[in-house]
Amino acid sequence: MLLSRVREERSLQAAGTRQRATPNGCATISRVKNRGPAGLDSASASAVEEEATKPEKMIVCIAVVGHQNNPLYIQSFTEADDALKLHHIVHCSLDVVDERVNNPKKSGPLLNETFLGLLYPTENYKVYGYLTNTKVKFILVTTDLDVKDADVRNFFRRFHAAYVDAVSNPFHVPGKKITSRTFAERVSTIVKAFGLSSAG
Amino acid sequence: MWNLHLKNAELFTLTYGAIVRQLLTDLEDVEEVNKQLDQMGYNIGTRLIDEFLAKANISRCVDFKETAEMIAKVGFKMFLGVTASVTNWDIEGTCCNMVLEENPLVDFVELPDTCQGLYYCNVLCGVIRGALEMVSMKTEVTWVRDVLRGDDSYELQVKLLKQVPEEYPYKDDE
Repeated sequence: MLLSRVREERSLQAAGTRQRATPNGCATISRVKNRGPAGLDSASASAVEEEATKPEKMIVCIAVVGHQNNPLYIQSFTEADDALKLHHIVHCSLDVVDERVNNPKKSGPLLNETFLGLLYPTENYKVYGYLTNTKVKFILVTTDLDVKDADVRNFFRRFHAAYVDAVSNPFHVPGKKITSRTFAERVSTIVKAFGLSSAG
Repeated sequence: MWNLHLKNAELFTLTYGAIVRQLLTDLEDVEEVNKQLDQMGYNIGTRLIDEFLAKANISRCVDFKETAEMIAKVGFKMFLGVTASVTNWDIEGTCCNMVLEENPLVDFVELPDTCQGLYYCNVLCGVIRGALEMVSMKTEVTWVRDVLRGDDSYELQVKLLKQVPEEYPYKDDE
């Protein structure tokens, strides 16, 4: 009876693998494969394994977009070669941002809120937005299923600080891409810190 | 009070950055910009020395060594809010190095690849040179190490070339 149950699970997962053979799917596929033989023990053991093997990188991509929707900085953190897909996701999320900005929610205190929150969830990703007073937008794409709101806000706060320092460089031309190496390093530090704090 | 200091410091940093940027746009040649920054510093220094002597309340310096210490400990502290340390004295006592622990002029600054020959803080060289000239010392001040150019600290070299005795404009027989 246990064996048949496992066979059922395996077929479901195989179907799921095909669906999830997207950029981050590398991790997912290997996880499913592992579950195959291990699942022979018991269904509960495989469930535990799922919780133990979380996705390695939570944040897939961050982007800074200027007030004329011109890209100022895009950085992806996956090994896979899906820059185009991420650019597309960021681009789509800009529409959502514009919509939110032009039609503010009726609830009063949110009118001058910089943190836009979850913009839209796709099949694997969640996209968060943040708007500065100068209409510069920060877009965060993450693969995680369970991200705390406070963590994302914290992330954006630190990211905003790094952005302000990068823009204060007298050699930075406003409206042009950010070429500062220090900024890139700080951003990777913040991204790593985000991954570690959420995984705990 | 401290917050007010910090806000003024940022304004100062940003203003200086804007000046350097404008010079680069106008002059286009990095060496020219270095010279201009030095000249600007010189003009500032010749005026700054009076304020320094009035506020610092110090006695006349006996020799160049004392002068250098004054600049490093009192001068930098008064005008930039940082202290410098004096090192590397030569045998005659006419040449030394000053190491700046911090440098408020360069907060947030990263030199682009097109400006690699630029001495961003060259104005400081001019200030010291101008100030010392007003107290009868001809000096040469150059950067030995610069963090923006890849070194690990900011280090100036101050060399005393000549001590010019004060000259009175009036002849004796008038």
